[in-house]
Amino acid sequence: MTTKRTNPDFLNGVPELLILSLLARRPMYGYELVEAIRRSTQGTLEFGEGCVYPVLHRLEAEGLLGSKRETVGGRSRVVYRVTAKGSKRFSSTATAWRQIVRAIDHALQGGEHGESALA
Amino acid sequence: MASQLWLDDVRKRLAGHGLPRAYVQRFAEELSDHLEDFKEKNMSTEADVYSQLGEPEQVANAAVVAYRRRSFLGRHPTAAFLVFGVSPIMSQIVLFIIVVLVAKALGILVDQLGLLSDNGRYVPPSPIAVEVTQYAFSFLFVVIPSLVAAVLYCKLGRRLGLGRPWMAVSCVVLATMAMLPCWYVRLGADAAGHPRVVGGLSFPFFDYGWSDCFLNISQLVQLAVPLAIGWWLLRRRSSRGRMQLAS
Repeated sequence: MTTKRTNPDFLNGVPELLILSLLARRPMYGYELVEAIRRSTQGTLEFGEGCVYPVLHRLEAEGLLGSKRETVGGRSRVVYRVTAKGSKRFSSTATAWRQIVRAIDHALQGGEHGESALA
Repeated sequence: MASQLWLDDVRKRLAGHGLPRAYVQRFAEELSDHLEDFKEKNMSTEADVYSQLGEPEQVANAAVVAYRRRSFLGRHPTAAFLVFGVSPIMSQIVLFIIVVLVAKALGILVDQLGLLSDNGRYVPPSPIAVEVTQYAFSFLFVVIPSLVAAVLYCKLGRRLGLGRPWMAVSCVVLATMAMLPCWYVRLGADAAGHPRVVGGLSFPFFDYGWSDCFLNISQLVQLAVPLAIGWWLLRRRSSRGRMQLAS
């Protein structure tokens, strides 16, 4: 029996960003969201699908997401959508994330000294 | 079958961690929906449930961590320590002060109403009345408040999903603080022969001349009640988890 492990601690905050990003496009239910994460990251992120729900619940408790049980595809499901507060949080977190990615990328390419950090 | 076992395992673990029943129920419903979709769309074997959705322990731990992070106390262990470890001490100190004031007020009341006097002369009460008064004092002002406090701390810990250790800490602190004092109610007369009621407290190793104050029956009861209520609430939580699983 194999186990999918969530990526290490440095990915803290990434699931939240990803979920806000995907739900900002359109409301989704849990399974749909998991599929969307897999497609949008091309399967790079590995996580137990059941671990998505605690993140959704926490974001909901923080007022960043709203949820409602609706009938989708003939079945009753809990559909999540981003709130106004969630949209604001997404904008600020996405900006911060892009800055970090640029900075890390710059460092990996040798920074100002032009030396490759990767041997 | 494997999916049902997986779901039952997650539910059992969530309940065992002491998360509120409503949250466990909701989480289980969503996981159940997810499992239905998973089986429908993947046509996978049941064994894939564990690899795809994660080990039950991993999912339950993620839920516990996420639930705790919702509250300020869950995010800040130092604050949790102050609330569950230190505030019971403070509450017991406040209680001691209240008890001393109540004892003083009762003494004045008995004096004013002349309950122990006959035409201004002191009438000593029976020894049984003195004992009953003393135990009633201990029960009303130490045992019951400690019991209520233990229940409140356990309920708060459960509501915040903080887990057993913090609740156990509160109950042990409450029990220790409740066990320390010996309450004394002395009925007698002053030098002029007027009846007097004197209330007081003593602590082990501090001889104020009251009498021996080291693990008498009142103290043992004061110690046992918060511990018993904490133990019962924590046990009840586990058995509720098992009942949820069975249903």
